Amino acid sequence: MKRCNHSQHQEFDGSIMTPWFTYELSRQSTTAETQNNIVAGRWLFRFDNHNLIQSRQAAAVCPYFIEDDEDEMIDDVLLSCFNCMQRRWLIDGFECVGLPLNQPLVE
Amino acid sequence: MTTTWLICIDDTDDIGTKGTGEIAEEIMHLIMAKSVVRSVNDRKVKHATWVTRHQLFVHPDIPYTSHNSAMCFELESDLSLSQIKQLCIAHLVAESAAVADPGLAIVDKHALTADDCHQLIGFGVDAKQMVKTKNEAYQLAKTVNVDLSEHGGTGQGVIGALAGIGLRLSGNDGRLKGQVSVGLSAEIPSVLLSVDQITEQCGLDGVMDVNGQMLNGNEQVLLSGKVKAVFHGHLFLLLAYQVPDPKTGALQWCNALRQQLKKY
Repeated sequence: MKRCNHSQHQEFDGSIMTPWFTYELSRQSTTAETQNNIVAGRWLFRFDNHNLIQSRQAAAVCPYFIEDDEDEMIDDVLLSCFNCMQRRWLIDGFECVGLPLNQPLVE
Repeated sequence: MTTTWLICIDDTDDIGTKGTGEIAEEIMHLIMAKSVVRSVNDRKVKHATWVTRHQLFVHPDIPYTSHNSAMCFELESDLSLSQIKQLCIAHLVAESAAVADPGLAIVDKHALTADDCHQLIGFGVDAKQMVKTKNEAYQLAKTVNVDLSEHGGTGQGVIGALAGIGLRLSGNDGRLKGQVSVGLSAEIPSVLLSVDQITEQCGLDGVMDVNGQMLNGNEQVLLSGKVKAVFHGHLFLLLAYQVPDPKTGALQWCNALRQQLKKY
């Protein structure tokens, strides 16, 4: 099973994943809270559930990829967000629960 | 005297823990080991019984981990309901994730009336497209005599467990857990088998193309990668599609891609 090593990227804030994911705050927050990164949000995949190319490109650079149970994989290429244990399916997309829950410095 | 049991579990896992399918398979083998009569699918291949995975609704109001699927299996056993339930619960409690909300549904398949089946299938179909409640699940379970129980956390898993029973009864839902064994390895990355050979070797009921047409027994199928099967028309079927042979251009049957399996 391919697993990420979180100890190697403690300072990672998810910025490099912003071509594929957008960070959405979970509720209305004050400016001070947002500036201090104390309001948790969630990372939403920018593309639909059929976009294999973007899913593979994202996983190729993501340090948080963890291979999911074989029965839950839907891409024939292993290294794909669609095959990652940390993707949580939504009605028309998925959120990544592996990326750090602090607002990226760059989006 | 034996009974044909349908058993389904849901909401047992968390990120990084043992999957629900694996736990279901382990429970199935535990029961089989204690039973005189083995699985109903034990015709030609020993232990060739199948756990089916049933996809349920994903919605913000449903507290699933990452995919919201239930795992169901059928077996024939001389054990009583209480003996089977005891085995299931002991393993569920031991193997479920600490934060999981496990649910367990057990029913004597042949004790269900046509109306019971109709109601259970309806519940399963609904659970694929709308939010259902624990109360609804318990009410239906009581009506149709399904033994439904929760084993930790919020117990929300009872909804998926009951829905999985209904979807398995429908005969038209789900992928089979795991891969179909056709002898592939690093040294043998692909193999060409006839449909008859596939059914003989793997214990499947046939091969169907992605448009729902059954293949004839003498059709040749090139098998490679992850070989997966689906549950359709109350049959366990390999799914196949046609691609042109790169050398000759002739159409060749191949086992389906994961994207093609996704809708099951």
